[in-house]
Amino acid sequence: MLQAVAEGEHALQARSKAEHLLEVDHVGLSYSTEGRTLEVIQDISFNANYNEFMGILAPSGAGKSSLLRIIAGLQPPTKGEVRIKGKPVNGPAPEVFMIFQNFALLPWKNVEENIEIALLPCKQLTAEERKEKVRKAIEDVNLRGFEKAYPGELSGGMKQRVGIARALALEPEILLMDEPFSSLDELTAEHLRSEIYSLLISPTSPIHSVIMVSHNVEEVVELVDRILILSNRPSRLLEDMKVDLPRPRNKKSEQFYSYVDHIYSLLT
Amino acid sequence: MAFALLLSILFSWAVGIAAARNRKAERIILPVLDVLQSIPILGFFPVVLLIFVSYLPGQLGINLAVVFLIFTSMAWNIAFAVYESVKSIPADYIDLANLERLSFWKRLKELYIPSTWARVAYNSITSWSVGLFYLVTSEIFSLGSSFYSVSHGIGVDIAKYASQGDWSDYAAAIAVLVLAVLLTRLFFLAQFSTWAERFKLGEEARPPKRDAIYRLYSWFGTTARARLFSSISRLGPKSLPRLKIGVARQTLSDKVAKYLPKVLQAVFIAFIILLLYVIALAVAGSAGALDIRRVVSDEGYVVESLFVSFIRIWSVYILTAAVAVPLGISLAKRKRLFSSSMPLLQILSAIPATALLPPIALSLGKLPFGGELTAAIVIFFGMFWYILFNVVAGVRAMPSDVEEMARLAGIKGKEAWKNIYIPASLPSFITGSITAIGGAWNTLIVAEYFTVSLTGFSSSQPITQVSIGIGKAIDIAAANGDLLLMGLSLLSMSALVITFNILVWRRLYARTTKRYAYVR
Repeated sequence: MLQAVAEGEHALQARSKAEHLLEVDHVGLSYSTEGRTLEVIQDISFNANYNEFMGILAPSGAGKSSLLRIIAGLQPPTKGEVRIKGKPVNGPAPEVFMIFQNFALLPWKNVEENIEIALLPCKQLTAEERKEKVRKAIEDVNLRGFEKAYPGELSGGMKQRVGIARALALEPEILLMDEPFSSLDELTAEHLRSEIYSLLISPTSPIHSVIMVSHNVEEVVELVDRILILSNRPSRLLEDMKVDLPRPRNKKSEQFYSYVDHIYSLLT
Repeated sequence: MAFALLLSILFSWAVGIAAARNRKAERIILPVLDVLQSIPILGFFPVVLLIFVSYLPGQLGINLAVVFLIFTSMAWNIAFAVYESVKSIPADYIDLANLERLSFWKRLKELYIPSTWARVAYNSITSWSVGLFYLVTSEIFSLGSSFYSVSHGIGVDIAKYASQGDWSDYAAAIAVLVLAVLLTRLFFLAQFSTWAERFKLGEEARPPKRDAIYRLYSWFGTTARARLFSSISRLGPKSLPRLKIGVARQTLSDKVAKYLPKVLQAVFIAFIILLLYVIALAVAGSAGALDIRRVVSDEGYVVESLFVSFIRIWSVYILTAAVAVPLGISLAKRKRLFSSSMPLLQILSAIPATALLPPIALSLGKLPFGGELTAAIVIFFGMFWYILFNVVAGVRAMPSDVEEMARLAGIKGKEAWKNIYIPASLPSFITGSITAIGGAWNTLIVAEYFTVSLTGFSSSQPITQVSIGIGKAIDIAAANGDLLLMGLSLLSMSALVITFNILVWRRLYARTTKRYAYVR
């Protein structure tokens, strides 16, 4: 009886801790080479909430990709820790997946297979369920008719669509995006940006949180709900701001520009 | 050896620049180079030796023959590098040279030669280690005959100590060889290529991961890749602006410029014809008038030998691949294991496979099938490093985001090998295989039949031999001065190797690179 009470209390504690989907707790990163220490990330803390599209903006070389990799569990931090639903991250977490700048497609696999490969480790899925998820993801990103095409035959924009479809099929709770539009030409990027929000953030979407790293100020203001602005190396959190603009956002509006101007003044 | 390298670079400039700047020369030089580099050079060593020794006195002839052999092992690869560098000079530079009305020599000095340094330096590293392999092998080989053995040299020492049972001296000789290889690689060739880096023109496509280790090991792959590419893609019919010489100021050097490529071309063709002529003459001379029946029966023997050797190489190749591919992938995957085991692997790989021959032959020679086993082991080590390092380089060249994607999705073990690592290593595995099998045809010359005739060592009784094989046929022909048999063997072997390259390897390579290579 007494034990049951204790357990209940423990569960309650755990839930209060797990209020946040993701907690980044005093994370720091430094490399030491030949006795010299290079501090990349000084000390960064923030939480990510459910149903939030977050953007991380920083000058080049400020360690924003490293921060993303620390969150993903691909790289351990040298200081602090990252927790997902209260659990400390050691190594890649099953709740997290990523969309990459250069798409991370396998050239020897066609569109279908490139998406399916991410589902292979999910042993609870039958082959049919897997195929169905792949089919649906391909439909969502408008790649019907290209199922059998190889990455070499696709344009950059289509390749990134495959990358997005793979993430959709896998249904991670936290989706990380590392400069997802920066290796596309401006027109293609514009087009894809206009679609991505509704793809990722919808009432039915299993994706609870999206974190996008970028160095493109307009892009971030256009897409996200909340922006973290990091300083130059060693990076600290300069500002954590909400973007209160109605969607779809008008890039020519005055409010849009006041956000952009404010961010530029912080970064320079 | 340095002399041979210098000679190779000079030759490459002449031929490579001519081919790159003149369409006609290109049409002739490229196929010729292509054939020359796929011929098993070592097989020609006996003939070359014979020719040099019969025209030049004693040691001079022998040493020149060795220099010539090493030259032939180095030159083609560098020539292709020069050709590709000059061919890929961005058009703006050529336009600039035209605007400035640079004379041919100025162009050569200011543009063409500087543009080739980076690739020449890089390929010299490959050439150097290939050359060393031939050096040691040819020295060991030359001991088989009392007529024309080189009296000094590391290869000679190795074979001598081994055959006399001086194992400590043998080990010391191997150690000296390894040390020499490592030191030249570290202090001379590495410096050369760092220095040459700054001559890179424009924004050349760089290998994805240019860490030191990758750079060190990717040279194993570059040769074969460069070789094949030169003939597959031939850089398209992109006609670069020709030399436009101002009417007003046609100087002497400009005239030379106009005719030099043609002269070079003529000289080159003459050289090839001369070489063929000498070989034909030697063959005909020894056979009296060519006896057709002998030709037919010898050719029969040659075809049979070729067949057996072919099977031998391919069986060992399959075995080698079965060991080297999994090992290479595991090494490339584990960064720490990789960097800690590299120094050891580097030392081991610096030992030319043929230098291992004497002790293996002596310890296995008496066993039944000992000769077969010896040949297999030597061929194995001849191929192993090429495949291993190529697989390692291939997997390491994989973009890191693919690896991260796999880790995040939780793709592990058998699934990761089947879907990611094995396909990723495929193009470089093919590259490695081409080089490895090309090398194996050369290794055969000593691996299938090996004699040491030293004073105080009785007999021309071979230490190791296989029952039949093309390497053995060539060796026996060399020992007996049977030029007909040798000529037939060489022609048939070259024909087989070249045909196989064109029909199988080139297609396979084109297909794998099309699908499996990372092109962004």
